[in-house]
Amino acid sequence: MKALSARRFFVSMSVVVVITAATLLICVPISSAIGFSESVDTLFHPGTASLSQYQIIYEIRLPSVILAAIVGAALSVAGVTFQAILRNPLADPYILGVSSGSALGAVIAVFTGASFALAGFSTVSVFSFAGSILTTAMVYFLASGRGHQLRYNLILTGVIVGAFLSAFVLLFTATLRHNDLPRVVFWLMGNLGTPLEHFPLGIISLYVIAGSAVLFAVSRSFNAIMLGDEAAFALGCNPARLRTYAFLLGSLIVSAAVSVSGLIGFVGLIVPHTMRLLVGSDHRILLPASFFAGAAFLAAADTLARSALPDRQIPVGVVTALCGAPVFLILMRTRMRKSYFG
Amino acid sequence: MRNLHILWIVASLCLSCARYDSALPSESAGQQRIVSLAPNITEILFAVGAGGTLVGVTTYCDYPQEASRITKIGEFTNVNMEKIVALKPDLAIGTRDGNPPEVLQGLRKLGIRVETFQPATFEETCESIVEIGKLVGEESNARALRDRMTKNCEEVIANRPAKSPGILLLYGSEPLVAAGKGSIGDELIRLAGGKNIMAESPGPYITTNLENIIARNPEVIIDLSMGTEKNSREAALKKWSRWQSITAVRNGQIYVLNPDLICRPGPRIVEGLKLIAQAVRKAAQ
Repeated sequence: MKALSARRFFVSMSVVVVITAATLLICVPISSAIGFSESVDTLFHPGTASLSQYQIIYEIRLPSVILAAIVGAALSVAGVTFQAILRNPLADPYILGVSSGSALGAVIAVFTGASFALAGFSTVSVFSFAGSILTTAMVYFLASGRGHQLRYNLILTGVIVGAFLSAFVLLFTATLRHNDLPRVVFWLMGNLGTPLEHFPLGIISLYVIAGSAVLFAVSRSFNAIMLGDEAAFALGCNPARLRTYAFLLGSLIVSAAVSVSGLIGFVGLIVPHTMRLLVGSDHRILLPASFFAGAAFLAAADTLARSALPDRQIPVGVVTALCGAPVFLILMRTRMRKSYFG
Repeated sequence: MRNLHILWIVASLCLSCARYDSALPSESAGQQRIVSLAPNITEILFAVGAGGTLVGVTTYCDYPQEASRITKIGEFTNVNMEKIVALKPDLAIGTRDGNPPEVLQGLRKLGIRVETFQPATFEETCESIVEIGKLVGEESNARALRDRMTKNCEEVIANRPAKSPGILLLYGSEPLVAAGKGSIGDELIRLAGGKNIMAESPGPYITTNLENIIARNPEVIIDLSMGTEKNSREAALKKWSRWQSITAVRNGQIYVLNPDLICRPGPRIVEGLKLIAQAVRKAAQ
């Protein structure tokens, strides 16, 4: 693997950013409700569009694509982060308990039938965010002790706490009223369809971008920690502190994403690996590249899921897995020359 | 040792005989003992005057009031077989779509007679009422009820407005599930004189999205997912208020109905029809 030069960084990042921007731009006018040329017209000439066309493109499609991009970016960045600090290629954003915590929050919200909106976020979103934050804190406190042991404790604690909370999720789901069950299943499958208003969308975007920016800033340390804790220490990185902060920050980002989108699987696992094959495993480029690639991937997958069949919707998680897996396998067979995880 | 074997075989044979014994239904003084496996069946039984024969109902059977006091035997799929057997019913009445075959077969294997009904249209609902009436010995009441329902339906048809406004009937919001062709909701819309905007899509229940709804622009939205509290209509109006491009939203033609009036094929379906007809007439003005 070649060393990362400034030139290579700028060239690769430019390609990634341009492709992402193009993908997002194409995704907005694709809708099963109105024709493509009509949509493009509305997109570039909003003044001449009817109210229906305007609302479809600017108040439904555009926020949906932005939301899918933000969620995809968040999941991918968190995936890279957790894979690095746990030195485990199977780590995904949900492995450290966030998925069960947010699922439990969502199920409790549906079970109690509470209904209040906070700053434009639905009850289910608020509860699931609270659930995942509390779970992250629980996992952190249970796993921390001797700093350098945090790696093993963290993954075990995360998985065990996750399993424990999943039991409660099942319990609540089993006792739900008949009418509420589809709501919960729908949330668990992951859904990007509910258009957020501008204010909550802005908050989530800022939150994810800010969190990711902090992680980009310490990407050098992720390179170091991949060499092992002792080597990392020798290179001036504090593995225990890095692990703690990366875990907390990554979980915060994922909690925000999952609270509005439900549990969309596969993105956080496959985008990091795909980008590793395309741009290398230097985290200074891998992190930002995964951010943009994740955004493009999920936006495209969601658009496909919502417009492939007329009138009906496929769950977005189905599309991410069906399309992502073959692409990844092809890349892996053609480009992987060595294992990055030793 | 050999005596022990013989004792064991004899004991097993005795026990297996005993199992069937307790499952035989017992008829006491000609009064039937009926278990209902679905809320619409419960409503039909009460409506034809056979409410007194019910010994077991599901946890969803909440209408009429008296039904809530009857022993609960579980839900559609999660049915408590032991409780049903302990009630010694002569007959269990269920549905083919709501109750899974495992439950129905399981009850039959325990020696309980099971009859199922699955009305898919208004007319089939009326016919099911008559059939159930025959089963429980209340045929004349059942026929009278059917005639009343048919008459109400004919009145609604006679009062249909000249214009057919576009109607969207939503069963759920998360995900958005609309009544499509082949569902009872679709039929009620047509009987009431409206035009179901989702009628071209195949399948009785259509998972759709907001873009499609905006593109089809209904003049009336009937949202069954908002519950029946006093402020449900306000909440529904507020929920939809963002999408001003929809005619129904601009004109305030958003209605919340008790979903049981449309989703339970039974005597109250005629009330659902009348309410939909009211909405249609108002929109057609």
